[in-house]
Amino acid sequence: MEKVSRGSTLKIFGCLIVAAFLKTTLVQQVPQALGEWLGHIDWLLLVVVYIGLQRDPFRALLTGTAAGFLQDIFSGGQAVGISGFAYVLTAYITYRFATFIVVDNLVVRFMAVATASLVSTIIRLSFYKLLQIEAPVLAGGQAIAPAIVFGLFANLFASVLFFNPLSRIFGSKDAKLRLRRSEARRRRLS
Amino acid sequence: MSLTDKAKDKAKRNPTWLLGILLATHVIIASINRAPGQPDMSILRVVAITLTSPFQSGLSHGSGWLSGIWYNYFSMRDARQENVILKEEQAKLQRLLIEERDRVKQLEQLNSLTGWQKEHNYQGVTARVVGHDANEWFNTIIIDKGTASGVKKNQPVVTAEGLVGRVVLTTLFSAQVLLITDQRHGIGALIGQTVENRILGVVKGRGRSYCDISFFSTSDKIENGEAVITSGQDGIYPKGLLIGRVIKPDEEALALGQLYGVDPAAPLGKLEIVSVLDVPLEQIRQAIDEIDNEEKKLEKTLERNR
Repeated sequence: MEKVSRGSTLKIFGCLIVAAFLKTTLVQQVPQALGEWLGHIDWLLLVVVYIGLQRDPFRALLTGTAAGFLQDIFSGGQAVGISGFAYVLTAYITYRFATFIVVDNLVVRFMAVATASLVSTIIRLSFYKLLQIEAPVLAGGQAIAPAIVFGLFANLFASVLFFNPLSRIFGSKDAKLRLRRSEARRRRLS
Repeated sequence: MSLTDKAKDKAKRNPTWLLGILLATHVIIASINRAPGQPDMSILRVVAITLTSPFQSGLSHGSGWLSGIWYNYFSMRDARQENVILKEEQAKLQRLLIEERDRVKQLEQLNSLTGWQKEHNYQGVTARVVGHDANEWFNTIIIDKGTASGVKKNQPVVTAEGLVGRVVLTTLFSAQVLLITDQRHGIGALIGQTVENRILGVVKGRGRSYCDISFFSTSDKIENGEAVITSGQDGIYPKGLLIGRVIKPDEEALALGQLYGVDPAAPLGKLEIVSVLDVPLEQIRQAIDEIDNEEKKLEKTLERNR
């Protein structure tokens, strides 16, 4: 049991590192037009959402914390702690979402990613505003809505591609277990 | 059962307390980080960037390989029925071609940069861009040269095409550069080559690809596409570095108070090789004095004419 737990923690850590590298280096490796779109994808958030959907609150919340620190450390925004707050809250909401709804289908996962993307972006922007951190997206207020929408669609698109390798990394056992649990819950309810 | 297991078990049964603790911790860290007079968390960044920049550098050096995978994925998907050996051969050749093209492009950039440095008599360190900002709303890059190569905080960073930004954080083998398009970036700028038609202003970052410029005097004569160069008055950038070209808003927007835009001359979205300039402080002071003297002369001439 302990070994499995340690293995998963290492896998999560590895996924977070890969997500941070994707976020900081992928943009410059592809054509500029594509790079601008890829810049809107929050790979770290996708890892947080994926772990949140696994229904392990302890792991989800710690993943959110680690992802937040990685995001803030690799950013020139001088605001360590803000992304962590946003990701931790997102992880919790996703976990709660997964305990109420059966998450083993694409539409529900899409809903989870969309909710997480909106919550995370709004929290981060609110903090930047509150702490008077100059971010171009806040100047004049006109760019806020497009930033939220672009981020939402980019994350939804990326989740389709990213969740598949994540499911392979974390193994199909988890998925089968979730399915069994959800079936059991449905039977209990009926 | 160990203490960690107990905590885990408690968190699984009731995660709200852990959520509360973590949220409170983040709020405290963010508040401490932003409190006036408090040192920022740059030490964390220095450690993280020092640890990760070799990997980023490796990834960046392998850009040809990555582009090869990207290209091969799309170009080879429809040719699955083809002979496997032929496919592998083609993939290899494609990858080699992309790698070679990449090398040629980088050599060209390096040559033009070295030529530009020699022409302008600047000493500098040539560096490779290994990473971008993790946050889509801030514009910084990470380069693979740090204090070990002589890179210092606040040094200007340029390409042969124009100004890129300035160094804001240094580690032993890497540095973080704030791009001119970042909203926290301000540059003393001027338009016009002669003293009579010179207009001074400040260029400020607007976001992902553009800057704004506000002028200290009337801006009626400024035309679209005019070159904007550094004035040297900010004490960081030497005089005469090309920032970009003016984008003049239409009359209606001007009347509503819209600022003139500046299209950066350097390809900020596709930076590969940059140069960190070592500008002697005397040169910057000289530029400031020069402009001050010119301004005084101009004022005297204007007074005499009156």
